Formats: sequence, C-alpha cells, structure tokens
Amino acid sequence: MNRLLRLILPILLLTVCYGLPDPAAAAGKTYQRTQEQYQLPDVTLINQNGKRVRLKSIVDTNKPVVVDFIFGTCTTICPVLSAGFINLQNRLGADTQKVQLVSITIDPENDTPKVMQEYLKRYRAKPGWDFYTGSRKDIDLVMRSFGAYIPNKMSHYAITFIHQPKSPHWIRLYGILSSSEFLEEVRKVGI
Amino acid sequence: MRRLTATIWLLFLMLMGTASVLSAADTKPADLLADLTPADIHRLGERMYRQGLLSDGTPLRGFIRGDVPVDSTVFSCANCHTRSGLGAIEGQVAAPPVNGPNLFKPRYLYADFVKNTISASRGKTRPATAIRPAYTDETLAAALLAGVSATGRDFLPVMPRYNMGDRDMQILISYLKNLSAQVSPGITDTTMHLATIVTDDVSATDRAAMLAPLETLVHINEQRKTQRQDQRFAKMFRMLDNAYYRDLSISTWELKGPAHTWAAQLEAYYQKEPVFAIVSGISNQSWQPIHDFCEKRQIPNLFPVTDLPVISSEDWYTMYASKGYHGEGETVARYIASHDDSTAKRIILQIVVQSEQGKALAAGFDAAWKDVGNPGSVKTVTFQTAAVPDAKQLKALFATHKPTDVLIWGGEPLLNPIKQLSGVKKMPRLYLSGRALEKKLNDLPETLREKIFITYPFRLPEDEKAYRGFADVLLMSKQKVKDDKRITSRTFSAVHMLLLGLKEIKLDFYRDTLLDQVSMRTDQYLPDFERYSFGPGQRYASKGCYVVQLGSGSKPRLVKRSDWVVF
Repeated sequence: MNRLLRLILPILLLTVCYGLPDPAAAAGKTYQRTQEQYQLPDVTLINQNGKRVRLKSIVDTNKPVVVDFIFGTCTTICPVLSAGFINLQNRLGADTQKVQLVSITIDPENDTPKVMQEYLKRYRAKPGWDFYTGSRKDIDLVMRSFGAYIPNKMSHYAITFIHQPKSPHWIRLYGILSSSEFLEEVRKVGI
Repeated sequence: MRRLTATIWLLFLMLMGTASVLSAADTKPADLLADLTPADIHRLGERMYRQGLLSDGTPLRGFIRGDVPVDSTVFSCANCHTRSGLGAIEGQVAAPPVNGPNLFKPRYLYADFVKNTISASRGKTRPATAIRPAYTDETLAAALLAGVSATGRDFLPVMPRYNMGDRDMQILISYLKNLSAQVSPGITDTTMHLATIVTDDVSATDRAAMLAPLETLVHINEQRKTQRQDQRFAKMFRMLDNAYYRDLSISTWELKGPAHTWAAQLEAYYQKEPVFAIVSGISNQSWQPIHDFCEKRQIPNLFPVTDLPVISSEDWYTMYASKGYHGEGETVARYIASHDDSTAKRIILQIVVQSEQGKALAAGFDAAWKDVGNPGSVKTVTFQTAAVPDAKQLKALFATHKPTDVLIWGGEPLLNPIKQLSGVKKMPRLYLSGRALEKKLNDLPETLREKIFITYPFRLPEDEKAYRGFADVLLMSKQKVKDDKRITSRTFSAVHMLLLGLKEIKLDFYRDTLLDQVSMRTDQYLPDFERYSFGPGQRYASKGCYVVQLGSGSKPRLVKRSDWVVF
C-alpha cells in the first residue's frame, strides 16, 4: 500500500501543482468539453407549434439530444449557434432524424410560438430541431439547472449540451465549435 | 481530413481575397459601378448590409469558425454590427463599429478618443498612438474576404469570411463609407432638439400630465450650468467639457383637426425645426399617422402615451410601451386556447363596438386566434358606436349563438348593459378589457364576477406601490400633477429610456444608434407595466398582460388567473 502511495503521490502532487490538463488546450481545440450531471426541473415548456411538452420527455428519449439557449432577436451568439445546428442537420443528411436538436429561449416574453416558428423557418430547420419557450420562472429554472443562468440576454455566451440516451451524463461544450468538431462530438455519443 | 479540407478552404478564401484586392487596386471603383447611380449603390449596399443579398439578388455567403457555412439572409452584417453600424457587445463577443467614420479613421483606446475629442473641441491636436490604422478600400476588402484586420490580426472566428466579387465588394464598401457618417438632424454644437406631440382631443389635464416629466428633464439638464461653478464638480466638467453636453430643447407639436391632416402639420413643424427624436406624446386616437410620419422621416419616437399603437413586425422608428388594446385581445385568444376544453365544443362570440378601441381589441384577438390554430368557432357581431347593444340585445345574442365564451369589446358604454346580465341561465364566460374599464371595475356586480375575466395589462395594484413612488421623487415634487391615468408615469418611463439610450450613444448622434442602444438595454422595472424588456428590433417593451377576476366586496382585489405572459 505504501509502495503504491509512493508511486502515485508524486503524480498527485504534480497534478495539484500544475492543475488538471485543460481538455481544450490538450486537444488544440478552441472550446471546452466537460462531462456533467444535471438535475433538470419538472417543468412544461411550449414548442414552436404551441404544444406543451414536459422537459423530461424532451430530453429522455432514445436519441442523442443537443440543447442550446438562444433567442429570436439575438444579434451575435445565437446566429452562430443556429448556423451550427442547421449545418449539423445538413451534414447528417439521412441521419438527421437520429439526433434531436433543442433550442430553449432565454427571452420567453418575446419568443412566442409564432416568433419561434419564423426563426426556424428562416434557418431552414428540418424536422428534429425544436425551439421551446415557457414562463420566465420555468425558463430561469431550466437555465439554472444547466448551470447556464443568463440574467441579461445581452451577456449571453455560447454553450451547448449533448445528452447520450439513457445516460445520467451530459457533455457540456463551452465555446463555438467548427462544423467538423460539432459532428464529431455528436457522433461520440452514438448515432 | 476534415480539418485539412477546412484549412484548404480558408487558404482558398485568403487567396481569393488577395486576388480580389489586387484586382480592386487595378480597377477603379468607378469602372465597376459605372452603370449604377449613387442612389442605386446605396440601395444595393443597404440591402446587402441589412438583408444579406448581393446585387444580383442571391445570398451573400461565407464561413464562420473555419468551416461552418453561413447565409447572410439569416445572419446579416446588421445582425451583429447593428443597423446603424456602431456595433454591439454580446457576452464575450464584441462586434466593433463598421460605420464610415470609425472604419476609415485610426482607432484609439477609448480614453485617448475622449481626450482627443475634447482637445479637438478646443481647437488643439493631441498626439496619441492608434491601436488600429484607418482602413483603406484594399484592407477592408481583405478583412471581409479573409478575416484579417488592418493591423494584420485575425478576426474572431464568429466573423464570417465572405465570398463576394469585386463589384459587390465596392457596393458594400461604398455603403459602409456613408453609413452613420453624418450626424442626424436636430443636433447642433450646443443643443439637442427634441419634440413631443399632443393632439387636440387630449384634455388640458392630460396634456399637463404628459408634459411634466419632459419639463423636469429640461430643468434638470439646465442645472449643470450652475453645477459646473461648484468646486466639487469642476474637475468633472473640465474633463468632459461641452463636447459631451448639450442643452435640451423639447418643442410641443400640437396637432389639430382630423387625423388625415396630421402628416402635413408634422411636416410643417419638422421643416421649421428638425428634431433628433420625438419623446413620448399623447393622443386618444390611433397613433398611425404619427407612426407613419416617423417611418417616412426616419425619426425615433420613444414610448408615446397611446393605447392604439401600430402593430408591425417590420417598422423601425416608433418604440411603444406595449401593444395597447391589441395586446389585450391577443392575450384573451391565447388564454382561451390554453384551456383544456374541447375545441369542437368551444363557441366564441365576439361583440365589437366599432370604436378604435373595439377594433384594436378584436384585431388582436383575431390575429392571435389564427396563430394558435383557430381552436374553436368564432362569431363576430359588430355595432356602431352610436348604437351599442343594450342588455336585451346581449341576452338575445347569447340565446342565438349559445356561446361558451363572450368577448365584449365596447368599453364603458357597455358597462350598464353588462351589469344587467345577472340571472342569465347558462351564463357564458365574459371577457372584458381592463384598460378600457379600469376605473369602473368595482361597479361590476358580485353575482357576475365568477363569470367575468378581465385582461389587465398593468402590474397588479398591490405590487405597484413600490414603483409609482420613484417617478414622483424624480419629478422632485415640483410639478404636482394628478396622474390617475398613468400619463405622467408612462412619460417618466419614456424619459428614463431616452436617458439610458443617450448615455450609451455618447457622441454618436445617429438616430438609428439611439434605437439600437435602447433596444439592447436590460429589463427595466418602471411604473405601470410589470416589466419593460428589449431586444434588437423589438418595438413593444411590455410583453405581458394578466387575466384577472374580481374578488368580493366594494373594493375587490384583482385575482390573477394567468401568468404575466400567456402562451
């Protein structure tokens, strides 16, 4: 046991001194990838067709689910995230239906089903990409549960979550991914 | 392999950029655009900047983050850099200014920029090191094609690297040179000229209530002249100098006679005194003619006191506190649709008095009912304002149509007939506008209250106390104006938003910048409405409206039956 400790201790000390390797830097990536567990609230959201859906049924499916937070009149971050979503759908081609893309608004008061429907239409979204709104209280709960609470939508940042079916874990991607990186991340959870 | 493909694409784009720069240097812009008038170039440039369409009508395309293709019809220049070109900051991403005066002049640290401006106002030139040289047509083309700034630094990966030909490049560069290049009318070296509007149907009391906060604003602004004599503030004023201060002049444009004559009257006022913006204003009639004038003349109108705004998702220049009666109609449609009742059994009877108010409520209901997929049958019955239905007629309509829900869009004239509805068998649910009946709600008989649902677009009275006080404090109690119609408080909110906008635009006195900046403010908690929220292009600040019922007693509580926003 002592021998084992003697072997591990220097490594542990080095880790403490230098910190854990930054996954982004290690892979030469410009985004950070971490694995997280989230306790999602039992809330009901409303999709672009006005249909009320429980959050749990949105994420607990047999497909990988990709979640981001955007809003309909956003200037900079959301168009970039949404360009990533539509590009992923295009690259997946026939496999598009194997991934569920979920955008949740951070501006629920303005983003009515009509606004969300027009947004998806503008991006030429294919089936498999849904946009959700809800009461301000519920949306705040959802953002908080993902550790992504954004009190002021103009200080919005790029963050994407990927859920592997039947897994308690989420992959949290902080930053903007290239098309290939995004596809690779989605493939990793299995499609 | 994919990374290699992306790198090759980027190299290709950079080469294209270089080739384009070389050819741009070889060919004079005049040759490329010889067939276009300056007006054509402006129109095509504006379309490219705002809508992402090239001169041949095809989308401007590019790549972000190396290999993510973007189509500018969904993600245009104006999206990030704003319509006025002065840029925006969202999260960790700054979209810098791209208007002519910023692009084609060296860029300084903000501290240097302020000092340079003050020196210039005193006729002096101050040496300072630029952090970015002025762009030239060539370096700007390279920036747009290959994402390299005039300093040689790469842009953030979220800035698209565009694929565009020389002719389109010249059109866009020409547009950017002229974008927010001239200070908007209404600004002189000493004064910012503003106006407000009062129509002749407004009572003297209401007129005074609207003007009070504006007079206070001018008064407070004047105080700086005495404050600058004060030792404690002397340094601050010496630093900022008059370059950063303007006198405020707010003219009252009085509109008389029928609404169709207002456009000519507004034009005459404008010719006499061009103003930078119109702040607040008040009318009991539709705001449409004033809205249209502001669109035509491209003048911002901030938060007029009107319950009859123009409903448009495209128009730009008027920002409203709320959608007024239209918004209440929308709320009722969504509220009814959100219930679990069977769509087949749902029969809506909409009784509309053909006043501006009744028409706006019905238009709001109809539009939102369509949006939610027409979940039930709707029968609309209209009455002229001179012949509103009495209780007997209402009962007859109920008997004929057997409605489950009745919307009564008639305001006060219909209050008495409604009061006499007690005793109707199988009483349907009744929906009334709280804005129209706010002062008379207590008159509704207790026997009917269980069946009456009221749209209430304001903060509930018990929560409002905390907010109304601070408007009074800021009026410094100097102008005691009775404000039982939410006029002073709404104008106070308009002034508050104007000041937030002016604080942000600093010396960029462009009308579109004022609107861009107001649109990017965080939520504001002001009197009357639960919350003002903003977003680029959003034009109705308060988005919510409660559905309430009346409690018991002679001074009933309003009992919430919905959230602030009903979906």
